[in-house]
Amino acid sequence: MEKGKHLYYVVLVVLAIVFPIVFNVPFVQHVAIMVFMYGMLAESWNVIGGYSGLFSFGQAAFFGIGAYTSTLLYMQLGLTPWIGMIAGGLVAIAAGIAIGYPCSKLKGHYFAIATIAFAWIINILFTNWSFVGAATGLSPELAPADSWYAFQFRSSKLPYYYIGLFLMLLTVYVVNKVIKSKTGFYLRALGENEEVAASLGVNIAKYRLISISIASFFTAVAGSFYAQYVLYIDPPSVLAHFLSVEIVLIAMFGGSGTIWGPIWGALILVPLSQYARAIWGGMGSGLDIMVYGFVIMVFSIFRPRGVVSFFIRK
Amino acid sequence: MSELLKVEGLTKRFGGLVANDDISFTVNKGEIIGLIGPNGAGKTTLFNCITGFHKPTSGKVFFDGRDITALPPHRVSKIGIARTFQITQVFPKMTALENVMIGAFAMTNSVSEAKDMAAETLSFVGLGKKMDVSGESLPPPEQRRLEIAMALSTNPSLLMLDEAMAGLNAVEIDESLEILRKLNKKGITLIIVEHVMRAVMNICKRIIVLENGRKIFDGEKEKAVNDPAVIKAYLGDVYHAEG
Amino acid sequence: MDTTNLVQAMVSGLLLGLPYGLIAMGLSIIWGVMNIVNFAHGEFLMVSMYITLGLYTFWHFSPVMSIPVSAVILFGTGWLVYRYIVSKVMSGPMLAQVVVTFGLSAFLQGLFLFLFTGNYRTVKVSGILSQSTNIHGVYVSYPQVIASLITIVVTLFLSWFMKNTMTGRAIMATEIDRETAKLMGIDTEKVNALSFGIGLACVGIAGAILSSYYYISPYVGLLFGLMSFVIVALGGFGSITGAVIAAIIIGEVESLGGVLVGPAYKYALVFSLYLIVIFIKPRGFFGW
Ligand SMILES: Nc1ncnc2c1ncn2[C@@H]1O[C@H](COP(=O)(O)OP(=O)(O)OP(=O)(O)O)[C@@H](O)[C@H]1O
Ligand SMILES: [Mg+2]
Repeated sequence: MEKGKHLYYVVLVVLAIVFPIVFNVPFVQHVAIMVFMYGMLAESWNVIGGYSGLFSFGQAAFFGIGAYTSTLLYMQLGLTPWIGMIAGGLVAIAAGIAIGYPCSKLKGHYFAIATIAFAWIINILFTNWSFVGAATGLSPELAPADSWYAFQFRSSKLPYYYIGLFLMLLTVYVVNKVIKSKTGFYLRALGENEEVAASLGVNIAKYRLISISIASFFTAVAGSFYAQYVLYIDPPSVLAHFLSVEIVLIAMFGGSGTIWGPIWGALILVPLSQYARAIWGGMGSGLDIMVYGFVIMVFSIFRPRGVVSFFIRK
Repeated sequence: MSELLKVEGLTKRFGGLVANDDISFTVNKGEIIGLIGPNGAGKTTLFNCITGFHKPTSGKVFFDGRDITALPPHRVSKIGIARTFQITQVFPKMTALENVMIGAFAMTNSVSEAKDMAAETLSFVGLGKKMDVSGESLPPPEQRRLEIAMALSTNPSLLMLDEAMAGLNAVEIDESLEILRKLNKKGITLIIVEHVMRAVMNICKRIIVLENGRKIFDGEKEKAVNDPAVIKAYLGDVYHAEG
Repeated sequence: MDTTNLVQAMVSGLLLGLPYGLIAMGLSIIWGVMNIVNFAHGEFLMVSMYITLGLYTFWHFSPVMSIPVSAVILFGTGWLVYRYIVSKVMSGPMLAQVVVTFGLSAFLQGLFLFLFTGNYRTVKVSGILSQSTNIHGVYVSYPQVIASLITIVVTLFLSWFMKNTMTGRAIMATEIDRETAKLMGIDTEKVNALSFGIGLACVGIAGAILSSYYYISPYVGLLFGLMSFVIVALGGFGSITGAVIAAIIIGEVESLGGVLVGPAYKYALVFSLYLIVIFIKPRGFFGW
């Protein structure tokens, strides 16, 4: 049964590879790239929120840290965003530990609110910090032609498509590896009952930080990817509270605490919101957010364990 | 007999309430100790202080000659003290096997080894057929036994059980007692908090009685039944219950 | 900074903080009774501000006259939201409980954005609501004073209500120990619906009076909502007076921080204070 399931995913991956060649429409490709990015974000969140029971509503902070780090390193030092991406991930881990360590006793709602507050602080600081462009934001100098070094491709969306796909699958792969290991067992243990976990020898504080680090890293990598995709970042686009919320909603909608749930969530919700936005005219009209909110509400009532609960019996 | 656990002048206050008042005792290797006392006497609090879940207000705890006062719970587990909780606590969504694996990971980093060890421990407590049932779907008596298996899987030298027989019927109590006896034969020292007197009297040689946070008796069980302070504590309790 | 400026900042902080308290109180009751954080709390404030705007636009209700209307509408809304949405997830996984009100907040924000666009609107006030006074160089605006007074009245009323009425005591009992309350014959489902209603009624009152001096937009709930989470977490959930005291502290930090560090950073200061307190006392100032 396990084998058959894997085959099924291999087929899906192959389909994903040929998809943009068959549907060579920029908007469709854009939606797919967003699916990958949000899939990656939701899967990262899954590690903390889905498995370890730490409901972070401040992931935008790490996304923004990733976006700003790689962009700044490129603008200030000419460092390729590929390395900037890793650097962003590491800075995000540092930030995650800085906030996670003192939060090590917070649970449930208290943890959620602390993460919201943290993300707002980062947002406010970046909005007022001229070195990072303050409210105007940053846009790196455009490379004269498509460039792997500069991580800029403007003649086609295809490179972004494949990079995005790769990053998402990499995230899924790593998270799956972690979850199947001793560390993963420990993370699930703290998600289910910290007290018992501690009595069985699990160092709660340490594993919380491991969990936060993994999530922060991949969230920041997604942030760098986004920065290279749009080539313009500012606090409202990469540090927004709504982004944090979206990440949780997608993971939860698909089914948090399962490996593929968050990806399903992105696959369904992201096109929904992208098309709603396109059809009902821009961000301003509100219909997209409304549909989003409605779907989430209905789902948390009737399918609290997410879309994947349609497939999993138990 | 060599000394395994030593508690020295342990006091725990919650605000004005003194839950543990200057408690001292020692436990030797291989003993089975019954810790009893009326509701609110401070038994669970004492467990929590020994296992690092509470920080004692004053006093010291030694294990194997080492000062372990206020070590965090996971460290206490690592040095060989395992415990269960008064209100049954298991990982609800994990299977019984996975529940026990968490403990077994104290011994190994390998998932497949942990799996084998956990399976063995589950069979030992008689849950061999329930490995794939989730923690929350086990009936309460089996959850109690799962808890014991979880604690055991960390390979403790001291096992502390907080009312592990509450809510069990007579047959189940006998089964549990059998398990505990086997464990003791393997060399595991036991401290059991229990309101089921039959169980305590059956398995323990030595009894420690707490009342209002104080230790009022420490000695052979035969002497406890005739001790005036113990009788008063328990009769007082009965009066309260009936009045 | 001279004394007048300092006094000015402190008075402003008090007048800023007290109305936060009114909003937070509502959240606190809901949180305390149901152990659920209403993440749509700020959005309900926004709804009540639009109700006030509507009453003003169509019938020239002044914000003060809107208070009872808005309170009643929001009470009813709270009751319905509990019955048809929140109660459905009460026994579900915690994540569903957390997320359902997030969904509601997005829905409301989107709905009002769609209906009224993102433009800022204001209620044009006249009479005392448009006036202010100057006491020894300290500027005080009447609408803020009225909002603060109303907060105090509601605080006193709710404290009295919780202690001295059957309904209030049933709510308190449920808050302390739901299972025991149930055993004693309290209809806890009704208590939940009622608490949600009361929680939103607080926001209804706050929204009406805030409309007299605060701009109205679909996004206005975001900040107020966040402030109230922080305040409740600081004040200890379920505590009415705790919420008011924490609100005053937050108002002072915001106001003094704005003067001393710069207005751009005032919210960063508020949230930092929150994080520092919560690190030291994970359950807030008054929690255990
Ligand atoms: N975390 C705590 N905070 C405040 N008081 C506590 C706490 N834990 C225990 N207490 C109090 O300490 C006293 C001792 O409680 P404890 O649970 O240790 O008693 P016990 O002997 O285990 O009783 P029981 O037989 O009912 O389990 C009680 O009065 C209890 O209310
Ligand atoms: Mg006890």
